[in-house]
Amino acid sequence: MISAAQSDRIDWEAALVQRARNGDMRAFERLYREHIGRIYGLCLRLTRDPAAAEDCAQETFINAWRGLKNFETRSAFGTWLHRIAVNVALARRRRPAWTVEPLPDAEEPEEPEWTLDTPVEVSEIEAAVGALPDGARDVLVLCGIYGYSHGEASEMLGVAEGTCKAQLHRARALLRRKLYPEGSP
Amino acid sequence: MRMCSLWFALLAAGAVAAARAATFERHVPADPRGEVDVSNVSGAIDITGWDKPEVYVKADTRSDSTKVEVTSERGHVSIRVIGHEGGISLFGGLIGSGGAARLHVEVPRGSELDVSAVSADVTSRGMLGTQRLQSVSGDITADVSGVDADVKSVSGDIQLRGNAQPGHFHVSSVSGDVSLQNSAGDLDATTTSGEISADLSPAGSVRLHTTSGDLTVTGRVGSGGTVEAQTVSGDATVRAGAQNGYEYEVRTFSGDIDDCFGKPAERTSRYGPGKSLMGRLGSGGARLRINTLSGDVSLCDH
Amino acid sequence: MSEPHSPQPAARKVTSLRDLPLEIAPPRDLWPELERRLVAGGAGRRRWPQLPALRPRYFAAAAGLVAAVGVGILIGRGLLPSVGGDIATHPTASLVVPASFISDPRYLRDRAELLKSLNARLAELPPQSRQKVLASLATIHQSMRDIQAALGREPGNALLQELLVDTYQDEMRVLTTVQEASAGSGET
Repeated sequence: MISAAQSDRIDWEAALVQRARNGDMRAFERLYREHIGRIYGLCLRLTRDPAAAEDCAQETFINAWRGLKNFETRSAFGTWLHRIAVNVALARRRRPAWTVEPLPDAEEPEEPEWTLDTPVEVSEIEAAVGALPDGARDVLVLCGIYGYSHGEASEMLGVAEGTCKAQLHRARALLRRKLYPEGSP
Repeated sequence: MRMCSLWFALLAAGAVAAARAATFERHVPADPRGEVDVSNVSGAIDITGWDKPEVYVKADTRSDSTKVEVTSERGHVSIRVIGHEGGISLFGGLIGSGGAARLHVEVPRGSELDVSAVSADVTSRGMLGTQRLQSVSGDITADVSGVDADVKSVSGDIQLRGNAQPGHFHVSSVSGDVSLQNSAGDLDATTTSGEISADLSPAGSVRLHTTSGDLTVTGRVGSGGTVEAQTVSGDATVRAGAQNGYEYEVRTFSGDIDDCFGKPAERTSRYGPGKSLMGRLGSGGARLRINTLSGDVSLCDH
Repeated sequence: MSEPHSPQPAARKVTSLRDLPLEIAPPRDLWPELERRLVAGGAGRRRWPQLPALRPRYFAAAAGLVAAVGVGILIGRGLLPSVGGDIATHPTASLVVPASFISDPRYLRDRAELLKSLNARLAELPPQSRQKVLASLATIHQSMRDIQAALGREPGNALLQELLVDTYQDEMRVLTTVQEASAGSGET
């Protein structure tokens, strides 16, 4: 259940979206200002390149502007923007985003939030995430950092949910190996 | 593939900057009678006047990506809180925006102060110079001395405290309450649904207007002063004397009039509900006018 | 992976990926270029049309004078209209009282412009302020109706005429205050 403050914010944002849909550039700028932080953060983590992240962020908003008429106001505008950003980031890759990956031999139980064994510096963990293969990194960013469910992430990435789960499991294993090269402390 | 490590440095730097609350402090020299502008979108702005020829800024921000920009040039100090958004145009001026910060600012008390906020409460203490204080939804609390003060809010309450020195005060809120205490001089105060409370000794030119809120005026009307108070549906209470007395005129369409002068209100129409009360107290050097549509009026000189 | 070249920020440690920040500000403001691309693509209006600068006190005084004249003429002609009629289909339509008896075209035009952009302006205010402004406007318009109803019974009542004029001035004050207080574009 959303709070009154969240409800107010949703109404406020819906009003801006409606105005932007009617061609109000200033309303669209307000939406841009509201969401650019998350969109750029997502783009940067997916592209690993500041220049590419800027292009990705701009393309996201351009596509959003063009697609406003198709946006269903009942949905969260931010989530819709994220979907666009993921599409833009994936489309920029020169090779297919996903190669066929073997599933891990044993499945571990799903943890709702993966807690690290010991505190790790932000810079170190961001570097480790960035070093992951594309598919694993995409899922880890969407699910592990941005909190999307397997279903949502698989839909954004255009893959089956099972594949998404497998990639997340793989990402965690690779990340743990990178952060704790000599095993868990 | 050539690794571009800059992305990662940017990510880490930006990530830490975006996440962590930060404290900012700065001292800049300032003209004791110069101008100081302060703007902040959300949080709070606390201004204190002091006797040093400098401005001190301390800001607690929610994240490192919120910056505090302090510039000092030719007797003009500007303090702006800037986040990742651009500027916001507010009441005709442009302020920084986007970030949230609790600003504590100490300025020369003789400075001309200009404060703009959106969702930030504004407090000003110990200032002796002209003040222009504006907030959209924040409350404004200020000490006002014997100079000009222009205070405006959309939905916030405004509380001003004077030092008994005469000044010129212009106060406006759409829906907040307005209060000016221990002051003197000229006052123009308007609010639509808030209450107005004014205490001036002596009162010069006073105009008070509210649509549905109550009005309360206390103090003393100066020689030649005028007090005009109007409310559509609120009640008006005036407890004001005058050195040489005043002429008074009270009108209400459907409310009641109560006074301590022993003079009964007259009906303005044989068939309608309207009442009026007119008279003169003493030699009548000042003027008092009170109008309401349906509110009750209570008038006394003490 | 090679080590980053730029100076490292002060170290901060996390114990979960969820502790990593979701928002990262771009190194520069991307909006100006973005806007150029959107506009070049024929997208939308660049800015709100700039209304002529309003001088509230002068304007309110002028409106008051005109309103007084208008009301006086109509009272004299016995033509005082009632509230109602052509209320525009506007999200705040229930709050709109047509100023049909104020004849000055400039006042009518400026009031119409302010009412037309009212919803957009209100959308830019913090939610609590927005609600309070709407409540204040409703109070003003109810007062107008009450005063006009009373004038209908006592058309020659000077107090009612004065209250009505002042209430219209109050409405203009609120509309211009909302206009000025609404957020603008990033022009820095």
